[in-house]
Amino acid sequence: MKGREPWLGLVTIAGLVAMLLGEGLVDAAGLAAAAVPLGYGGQAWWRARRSRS
Amino acid sequence: MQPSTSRWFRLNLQIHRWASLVATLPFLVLCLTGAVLVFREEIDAALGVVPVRAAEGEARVGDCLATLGREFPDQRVLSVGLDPLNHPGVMLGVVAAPEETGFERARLAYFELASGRMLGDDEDPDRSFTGVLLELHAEWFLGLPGRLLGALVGLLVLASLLSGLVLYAPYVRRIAYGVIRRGRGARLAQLDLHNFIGAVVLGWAVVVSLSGFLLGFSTIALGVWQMTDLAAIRQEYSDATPVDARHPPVSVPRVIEVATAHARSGWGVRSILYPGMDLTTPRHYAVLLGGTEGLEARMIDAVMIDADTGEVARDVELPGYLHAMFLAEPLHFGDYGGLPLKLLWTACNLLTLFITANGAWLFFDRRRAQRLRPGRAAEGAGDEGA
Repeated sequence: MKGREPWLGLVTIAGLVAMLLGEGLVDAAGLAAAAVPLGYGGQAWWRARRSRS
Repeated sequence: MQPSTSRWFRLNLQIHRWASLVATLPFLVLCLTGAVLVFREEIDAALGVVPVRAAEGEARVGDCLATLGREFPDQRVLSVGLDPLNHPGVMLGVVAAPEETGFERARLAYFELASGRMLGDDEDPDRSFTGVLLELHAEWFLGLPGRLLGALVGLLVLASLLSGLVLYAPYVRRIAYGVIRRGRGARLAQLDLHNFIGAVVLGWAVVVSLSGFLLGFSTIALGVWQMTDLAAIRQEYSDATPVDARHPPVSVPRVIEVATAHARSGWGVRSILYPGMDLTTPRHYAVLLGGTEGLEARMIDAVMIDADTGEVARDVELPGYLHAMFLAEPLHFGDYGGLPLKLLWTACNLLTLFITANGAWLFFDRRRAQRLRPGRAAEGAGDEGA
């Protein structure tokens, strides 16, 4: 994944657009996709913090 | 030649640096006001800006309009609004002086559809807390020039994001994603935070800045439509006998009935604009129809109804650029996915606020360091990015 993290932004964009277009399950899946960079970033930060301590 | 010093890299470095710097202050204001405006509906509800219904029952639009006529005998009705998704059971009546043909000096009045009674009115809707914030966010209190200024800020932010992406590539080859170099000076730690958080919010920031850029042209887009398509329609009906705009022969409840029967399945009336306005003809009502779910809840169909005969005069095909504006608005304000999306919007907004401020700090800190030690080389690709 190294160096490719900004491409997760495309997942956010796809998620936000999916939410706009869909309802119900599509809405929930869109929200989950839109939040992927936040979740992945949080996990990477946590992992890096633990490995340095 | 090292990728970090290639012409392409240096070009993007300059774009990132100067586009960000010029946009910093206005963008900070946009982020701060945007963070509040995400919760516009909740704040308006808490402050009672839009009253809520107390009773449920069959919609009695005619009774609401009769009440409106009694409450504002010297005014004309410009439009009637129904928003069953966000304000169920409430009818919005927009009134103004009889000579007015636009919404600039309009007054809003709210009515309970079930009883016909007036719930409240608002002489100057822009003076509510969120109204003032929205005017600052969208127009900088400058009207159309302020909107264009907002579009320019959106463009600068977009340029900053895309150029930042180019700068990020060599940086991340040396520093693993998520690593914040602490204990090696404030500058490196701030730089790592800037690049890390920038990568996290990139997609969200692209959506919001691009939609903000588009929305900056919404007034112009509406003006273009008025001068082209609507002007052609008005020209087509120039020989038609005008109706009394204050008391059209065909009533609004009848217009709702006709428009609903004509609408696509599942669609309903959202707004009725009276004849004799800037956005209608002297003879026709303009009715805006909307769906209830997903994308359809964000789309608008328009139909013109003869105010003398009550017949559908024509469907109005709205151009693609107006539909793009309708879609840009939810993508900018994040108000289409309930509280979870609003929380995501707030988190991304606050993170973007942080990297905007810390980017400016990195720029001025670098200048300060260069003044203290002239000729000091950049500390690497990542440092150049700041």
